[in-house]
Amino acid sequence: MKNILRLLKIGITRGRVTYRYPKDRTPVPEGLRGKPELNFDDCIGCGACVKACPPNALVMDDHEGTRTIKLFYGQCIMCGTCEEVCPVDAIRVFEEFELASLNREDLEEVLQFALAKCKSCGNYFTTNRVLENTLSAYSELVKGYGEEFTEMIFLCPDCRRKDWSEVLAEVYRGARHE
Amino acid sequence: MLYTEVLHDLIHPTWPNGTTSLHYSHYPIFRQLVSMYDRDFARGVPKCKVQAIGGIEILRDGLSTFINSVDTIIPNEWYELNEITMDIITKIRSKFPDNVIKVTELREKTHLMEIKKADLPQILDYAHNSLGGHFMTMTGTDYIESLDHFIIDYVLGWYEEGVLVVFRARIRKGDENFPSVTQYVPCADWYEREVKESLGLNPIGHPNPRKLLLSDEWPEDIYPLRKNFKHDTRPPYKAEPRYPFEAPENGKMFNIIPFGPYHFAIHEPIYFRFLTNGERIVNTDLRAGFNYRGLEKIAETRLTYETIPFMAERVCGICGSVHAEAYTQALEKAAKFEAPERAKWIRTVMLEIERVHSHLLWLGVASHMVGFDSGLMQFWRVRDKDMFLAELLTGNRKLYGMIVPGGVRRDIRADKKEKALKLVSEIHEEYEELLRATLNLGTLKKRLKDVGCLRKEDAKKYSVMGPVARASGISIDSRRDYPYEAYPHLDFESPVEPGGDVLARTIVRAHDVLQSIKIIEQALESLPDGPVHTPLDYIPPGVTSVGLVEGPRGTDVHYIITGKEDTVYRWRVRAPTYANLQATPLMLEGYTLADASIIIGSIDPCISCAERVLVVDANSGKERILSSKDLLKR
Amino acid sequence: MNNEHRANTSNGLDDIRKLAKSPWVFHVNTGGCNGCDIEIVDTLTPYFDVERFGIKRVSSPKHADILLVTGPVTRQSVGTFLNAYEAAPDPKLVVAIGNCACGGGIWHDSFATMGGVSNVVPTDVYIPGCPPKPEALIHGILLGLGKVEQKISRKTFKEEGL
Repeated sequence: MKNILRLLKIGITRGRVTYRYPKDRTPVPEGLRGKPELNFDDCIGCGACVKACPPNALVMDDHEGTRTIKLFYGQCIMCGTCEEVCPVDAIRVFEEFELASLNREDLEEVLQFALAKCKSCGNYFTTNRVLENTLSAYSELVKGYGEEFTEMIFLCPDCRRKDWSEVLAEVYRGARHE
Repeated sequence: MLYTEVLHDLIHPTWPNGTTSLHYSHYPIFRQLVSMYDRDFARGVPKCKVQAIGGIEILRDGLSTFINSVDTIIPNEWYELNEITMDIITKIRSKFPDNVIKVTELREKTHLMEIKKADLPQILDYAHNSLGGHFMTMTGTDYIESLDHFIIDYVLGWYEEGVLVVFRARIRKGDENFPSVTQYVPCADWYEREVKESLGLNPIGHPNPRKLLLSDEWPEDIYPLRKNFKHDTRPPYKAEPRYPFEAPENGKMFNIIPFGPYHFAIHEPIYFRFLTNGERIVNTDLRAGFNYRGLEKIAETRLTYETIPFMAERVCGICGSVHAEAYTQALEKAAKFEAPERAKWIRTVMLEIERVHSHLLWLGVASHMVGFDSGLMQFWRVRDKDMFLAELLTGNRKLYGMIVPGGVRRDIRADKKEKALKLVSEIHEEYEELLRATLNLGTLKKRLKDVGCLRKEDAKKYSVMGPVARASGISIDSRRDYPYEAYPHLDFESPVEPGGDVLARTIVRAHDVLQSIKIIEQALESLPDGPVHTPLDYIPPGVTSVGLVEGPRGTDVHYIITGKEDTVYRWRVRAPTYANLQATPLMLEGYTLADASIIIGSIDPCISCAERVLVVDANSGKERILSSKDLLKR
Repeated sequence: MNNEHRANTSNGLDDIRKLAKSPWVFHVNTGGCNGCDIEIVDTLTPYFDVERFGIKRVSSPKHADILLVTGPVTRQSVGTFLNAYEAAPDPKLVVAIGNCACGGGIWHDSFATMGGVSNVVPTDVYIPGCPPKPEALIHGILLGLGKVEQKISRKTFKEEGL
């Protein structure tokens, strides 16, 4: 009997804690991991977040000169790995968690970028924005090396490899003759 | 001395990755020397210290005929053969002098013993039953492409000495079977069934070789864990065949009651089938596998070392960080890496927060199962404060995403620490008040006392772990016996109760919460300074390692073999409920149906409610499911 | 089981909203990790108290108006899940809770799962999260009943010149 009275006392004194959602909001602490948002103006379409995403919520598709990056919130585990790897801070995790939807299409975000062609072989290899970003980020570094070095940025990885190995072969032949 | 001098003349200088090579003309002499050394060494008579010739890749160049005869060198691993003076190994070696091929030390206090597959039953019988080892896990790995054989590993642990021994046997291609050890070691039952269905290695003499985890209609000849199976292959779904449950003995009329997959009070679906005589349960059969999602295969193919912890957490939503921690421990042991001090203490805090929430959850659910709904509401009210604490420190109420290889992902700032300490003291106060009011209730105690007893001998035989073992009088706790993270510096106890019934398990869990709160307060108050994450630079491939963590339900064991391309070659997750569920039929025998749900709930797994009644006429064998019309008619 | 998404209007979304009584829910776990399941039970507890809306948990699908589904439907649980789905009378609401139910989650391409609830039965409401907070759950159920507005919508961005 004594214990039942103790239980009643606990229920009356401590038990009234209900938050009247949706009128009242529960206190949300700082740093809550909610929905990640992509900022289209900053994003360069490099695909680092796509490679890093564990449940493949971010997918990338290259087709006929256009790169499509799709983020499906129905599969996002809100881990924050995409925020950690993004080189330009275009994707960040915010504190919004009310993501219910009546159909699947509302849970998607689609971004499309134009792809750039390789100056040597003509295949599409990366987006225009990535090339602009590389030039501006490394402009100080490549200044002293001349035009040929800057030209190499506009080649696809296979052509770049071929180009560079020819340069090395030249150097090797030249050094041997000396 | 003789061996080193001769070998020294034959050996070429070391290669950059630490292995040495041998000119092929010297190979026959080398082979003879190694076998002589092994024979003497296996007799417990260590002659000298010799650097092992590792790296079968080096010897492979143009020497494929020699590979088949070399069965003592394990691929891609670098071994140092030390003088092994460990007591247990010496005892096994002296009892079976001719059956032990080789013993090596993998990492600190983890040894590998290679034996022939025909000797498995007798050696494991001796190690488990006479020497008192605890059965940790068992696994099989596919090395067909590189080496033409499979390997199976049995891992046993000794809590008092704090050591682990991995017993390894090889199975050649074409001869894919091995003698089952289940008749001597009953807890190996489920593990061998799993190896059979996922890799196709047949345990001969197993009393119960039915499917365990794969779905009933999965085709017989497709083995998912072999390397030639792609992880996203989905055979078309069929409705037949169904699982063959054990039939009752002929001539006796029993009721078969399915404790079907969906239960009111949460957790996974699992299908129990009771054979009852009136209200008393005579026998139990069960079907697991409703939760099998194939995560071990996905980790080998699609993920990397850094992203596997996110999947490991989602093995179980209630004890997620325990799995992430066990994986990280196994990986850091393989890489011989020590995380920074501050990271270790933060990891300890996260693990204990999880233990508090899990035990409070169990106390609420158990009260609900015996009809005490006030208990459910009050215990979960206190538990919600623990969830707010987790959200404050990590950003998510569950599935924290904090523990990664190299440290933790977020730091605890000073202002958050103050708020956290305040929340912990509130939890402490409210919990003690609640315990005083509930655990002394006479009616509650009567429902829990002398129900679902598990004797100490049976608990040892089935190698149960966690609160279930501590409630049967066995004192095991991985935080104390296999110390990891910050536990060696902290002061805590692990209470043991001798009763063996459900009340003993309740008391053990209730006290565990108080100890956890004590640990969180100690750890938060004395967090050392420093970085919280340093990246791992090199993880050597082909290393076997085992990580052990004490979760809320028992010891969680993760076994990994590291691979070449930034991911694991084999990952085996063994949750403690896997071992505890095998002992459940023993706990249920002789008790009434009304007590069935609390007995199954007392090992803290996930279960379900009865939905239909199936009546089987034992004489004719015909089954008839009673529909709702039949039930409503009476 | 084909892998196409089916139209989500065949369960009777409009009819459910016309019902005057408080909706009763039945919870089905098709093989998830239990994170979403304990958040569902958490909505019953004093901090969130979903019984304010008249929502009651029932133990048989035959009494249910709303089916709460968690877990990426594993192959073993397809049969029992379909039994529960067919036992629940129309009109009903199927709510997919958590990432695993919405799209398969982190196991979306595993051999042992079907890849989400919408590959097996028509779905009415999707509640993403891993696990979704109890407030997000209440928001989702009230959205299905037509009492709150949806906050998220599809966004498309295209670079100029495409």
